[in-house]
Amino acid sequence: MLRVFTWLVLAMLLSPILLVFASAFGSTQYMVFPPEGFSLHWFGEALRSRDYVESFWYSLTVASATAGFSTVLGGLVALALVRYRFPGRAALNALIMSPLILPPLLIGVGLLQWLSILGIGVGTSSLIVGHVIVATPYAVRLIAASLAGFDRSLELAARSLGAPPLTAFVRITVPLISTGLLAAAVFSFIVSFDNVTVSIFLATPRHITLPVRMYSRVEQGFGSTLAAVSAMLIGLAVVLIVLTERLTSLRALFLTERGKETA
Amino acid sequence: MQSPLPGASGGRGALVPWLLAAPVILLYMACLVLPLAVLLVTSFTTFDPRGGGPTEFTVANYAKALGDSFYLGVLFRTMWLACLVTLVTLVVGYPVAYYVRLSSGRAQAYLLLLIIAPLMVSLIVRAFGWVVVFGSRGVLNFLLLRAGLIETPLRLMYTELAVIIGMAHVYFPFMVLALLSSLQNIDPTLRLAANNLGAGRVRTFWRITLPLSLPGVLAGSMIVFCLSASAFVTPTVLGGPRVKVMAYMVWEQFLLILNWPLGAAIGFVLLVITTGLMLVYNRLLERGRFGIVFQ
Repeated sequence: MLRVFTWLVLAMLLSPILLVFASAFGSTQYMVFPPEGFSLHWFGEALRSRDYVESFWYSLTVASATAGFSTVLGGLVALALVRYRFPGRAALNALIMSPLILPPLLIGVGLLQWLSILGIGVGTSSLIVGHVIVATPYAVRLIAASLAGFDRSLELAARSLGAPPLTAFVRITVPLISTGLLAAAVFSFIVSFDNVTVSIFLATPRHITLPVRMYSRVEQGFGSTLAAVSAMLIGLAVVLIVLTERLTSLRALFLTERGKETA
Repeated sequence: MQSPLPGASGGRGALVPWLLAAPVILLYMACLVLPLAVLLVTSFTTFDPRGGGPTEFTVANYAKALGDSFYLGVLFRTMWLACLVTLVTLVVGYPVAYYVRLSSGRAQAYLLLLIIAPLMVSLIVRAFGWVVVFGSRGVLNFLLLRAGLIETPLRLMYTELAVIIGMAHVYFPFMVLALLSSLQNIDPTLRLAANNLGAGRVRTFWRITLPLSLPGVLAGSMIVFCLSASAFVTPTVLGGPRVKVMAYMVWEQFLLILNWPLGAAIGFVLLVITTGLMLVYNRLLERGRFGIVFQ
């Protein structure tokens, strides 16, 4: 019975996503169920839409930058938290993790007001800053888990064989924690690429990220072009899931504490 | 991440970790802590609709956010919806987590993959999924009409029901993961001992497994409640202006009405509720368990 219940729940969990995917192939302009006809028309429409295409590339740029910054900056913090005991360590940990418990909306609103006070104005760099703040706690967590499970004696062996600290770190430590670094980069990318709550406050008429564009479009109804864009994003998610499963495991992204035990 | 190597700094003092963390600390100070401090000040100032006027200290924004029946209604609705979402995910998630715990090897890996996979799909796309289900010509109305249970399509979109189901769908994996991690921490020999002493499966569950999994229940409920209380995308796509939640009000005040002081006050009320709950929760647990909350 438990088994039947679980599979029913899983079906309910996945069916809305499958329905969005399927609804992109209908021939009507607005979604109807059951779909009338079969058509790839809306995919062409989505790919020809300058708004969607530009937003996609913009989101891709912002998310890549966010992944890069969060992984590097988060990696440094993880190193500090895992390898050193120092006064204020708990406070530092609390500060770094604070974006996780703040309502994300406030991060966006705070930045918006702050930028307007400073007279800087919103733009791509402030958007990346906002995303890095949201993504860094996850990056720190994932890299820290990977560092904690890392046998430090390997690095010390390299040091005792004459490698300078930086060389030992780059040649020994970085490759051995590459799974954690990769997980951090992938997760930061997703956090940024998916973000609406921070981006919506930092969007400019010229630069709108894809999820914010989709969010503002749905107010006019769930059109089939929007369904086609969604279907392509689902395709992208499937690719990311398969890649993550190949490289590490999807569980490692979400179960960091236990991830290090099972790894 | 709680296993640092003492003395690893090689006697260079306590400066190294701070240097490593410096870029992030600076970034957080300049772009998170300071902006929020300024926002807090703003929430205590008067609003000048013409803009640019001198502002004075006032608690009127908080009086409005917490005293005005409309704003108080939104506050209660937000909390009420978050409670229901927590309850739904808990009641549905517990049996699922329990089943995942009982399964093993590949089966368990696949189950977990299917539970986590939706988290990789864009939040907005998952909200669209429920638009397809709840739309006036959507799946649910089609099924109900077909079954002859209704004559005309029901308005399911922009209802609290749509918001609750949409949010439960989004936060379900977090609940299952929290429950699972505490279920997996239970020593299996305890269950065997209970069986040896003559307790049946049902009794063992109620007397051993359930009480020992309560930390997971608490952690999962905490996470799901806080996430749903501050959720923006799902409640606004599925609830719209008809089911206004606090996050919607903050957005509306900041981008439509431009009353930033009031928007800030509503935001801080939300922050105090969610962070306050988190702090109380962390006090309940021993120190150092902070990290487990957001697994």
